[in-house]
Amino acid sequence: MSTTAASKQAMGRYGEDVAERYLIEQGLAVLERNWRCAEGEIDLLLRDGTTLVACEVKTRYDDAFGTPHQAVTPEKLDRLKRLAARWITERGINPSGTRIDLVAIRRPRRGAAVVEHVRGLS
Amino acid sequence: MPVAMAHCVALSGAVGHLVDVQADVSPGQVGITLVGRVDPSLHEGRERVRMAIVNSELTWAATTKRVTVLLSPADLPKSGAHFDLAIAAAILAATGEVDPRSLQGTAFIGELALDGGLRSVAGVLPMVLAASKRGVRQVFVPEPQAREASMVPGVTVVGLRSLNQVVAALTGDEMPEAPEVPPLSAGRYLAWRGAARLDDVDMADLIGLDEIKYAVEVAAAGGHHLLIDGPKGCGKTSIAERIPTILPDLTGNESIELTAIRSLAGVLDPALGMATRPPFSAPHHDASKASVVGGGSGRVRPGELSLAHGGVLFLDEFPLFRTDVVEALREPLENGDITVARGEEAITLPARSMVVLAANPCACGNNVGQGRASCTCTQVQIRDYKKRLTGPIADRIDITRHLNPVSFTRDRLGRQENSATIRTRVAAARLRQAERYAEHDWRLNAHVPSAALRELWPMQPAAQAIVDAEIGGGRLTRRGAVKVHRLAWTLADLTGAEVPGESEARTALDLRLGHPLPSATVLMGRVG
Repeated sequence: MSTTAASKQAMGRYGEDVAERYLIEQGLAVLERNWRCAEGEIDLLLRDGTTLVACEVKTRYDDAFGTPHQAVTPEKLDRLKRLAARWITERGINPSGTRIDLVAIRRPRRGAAVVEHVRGLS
Repeated sequence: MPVAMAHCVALSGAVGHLVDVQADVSPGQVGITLVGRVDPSLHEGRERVRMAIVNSELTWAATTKRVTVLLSPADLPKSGAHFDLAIAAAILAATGEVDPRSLQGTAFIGELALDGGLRSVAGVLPMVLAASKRGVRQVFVPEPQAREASMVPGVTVVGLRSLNQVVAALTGDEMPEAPEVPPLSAGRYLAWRGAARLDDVDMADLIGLDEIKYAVEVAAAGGHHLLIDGPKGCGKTSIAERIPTILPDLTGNESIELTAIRSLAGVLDPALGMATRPPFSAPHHDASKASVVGGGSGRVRPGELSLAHGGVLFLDEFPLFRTDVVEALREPLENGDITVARGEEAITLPARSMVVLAANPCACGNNVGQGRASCTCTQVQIRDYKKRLTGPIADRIDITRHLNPVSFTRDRLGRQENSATIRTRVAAARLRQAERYAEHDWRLNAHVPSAALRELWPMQPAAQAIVDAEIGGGRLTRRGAVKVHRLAWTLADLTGAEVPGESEARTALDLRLGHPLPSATVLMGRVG
């Protein structure tokens, strides 16, 4: 099967939908989705109590090219932290704390998708 | 359970320290972090452990989790690939592959290969000794080293071949097959010289040489260092390599220390068990400082000096040894241990041996007696060679002997005393010393500190007066006088005298200054 840019985007949107539903079920409130600036994008911005959560969503068919977890490199994590700081400045909010989360979704070609929520990458 | 702990041992010289290896497997930024003063050889262990776990088809947690490994105490420097197995065990327990409780009271020692196989490591014996002292009751080691580890009493030893076998041993599952683990290469000593060659020699092999045999007996009885000079072929080496045959068996502590040193050097033959007989070590005069006193890169390897612990270190052609090697001998000649400083670490190894130096009269070895005419050395060469015999090292030598070319006219033919007979007298003299020094840290006359000697065990005043006269005459240094004092005690211990008197003092001076001995003294030594 060839993977086109369109199918990658579709996969990403699908994953973000699944993640959003899952996090709402976990009691988090969604503030914004796919916020973009010059430096990059945050997939989901949420509120967990009084803590701001910047959430990265990674969706994979399988672990052939590494796990979703391994896709969040230290550089990527640093960028997410900078993006979260920019978002706070832009929106003028004052959260009691900020956290970077990961939602890892494995969507095998057959069977149900597996969702894993990793709280607080650091 | 996300946290688990396994034990391992860090080595500093021949001393082991128990190390707790804790692994935490938690959600977070994926990867593995190793903390707790680990050196580069241990950092590489992360890759060995990862591939060994993956290739053993066990769960490698760090693809989706953050793995943190902490080695404590954190201020103790840790190095060596032998930590691999403990790190792997702690991670597997934290991941849930094995029950963390199954690691309790067990130390894990071994290097891992990428296929999950175990590899032998040096120093297993001192590691297991240290673990046992800290209450560890079971050790997992690479299979070829199970016998070595079993020398430590009270510890259950499990010898294994692979990581999968380790897991099976912990879970109680059926033991999987694994290829055999190659042993550490045997050292060159075991390969060609071996203990066997010197098992067959005996003092009775040597005809005549009464005076040097007597000097060697005195040296052996009190643990004194010895310098023999004489032309080539006069029997210097033959005498030296027979000294271990007249030494009594090693004491319990010496035996453990020597076996531990051999384990560190990777030359321990577990088939022989604990070392019981005094060793003989004879490095060549081209030897580097690291090979004689210990050192090397990465891990400190004991030198010949430590491998001779409790026995005899023989330096043939002593003046040809490199200056840095000779200078490095000063400390061990006096203290009985050697400190090797590398980077920020200083490691002390035991090195209490009888040092026997041998020298020719000149570089070609002919410049004496009737052969003098055939000497090809220049006067300058002869002077330079002789100069190396004096100086700070020679001053630390207790007994100096000059050997003449073997001549049948002077030497007595007939039945020679065998080593066992001499050893009995040496053992009796050593027993007297052990009783006298029972309340102190030393056992032999050669090791008694000078202050204690003066205070507690003076010679008879007349004997002391003889020694003082030699100092006054400039023939003896202060250090030399102390050595004469110690020698006099050994002579008294050999003859059974209560306190060294004038005759002991005179003989001790002769031995120290290299004067010929009156033959009566030699005979007295034989009879006494």
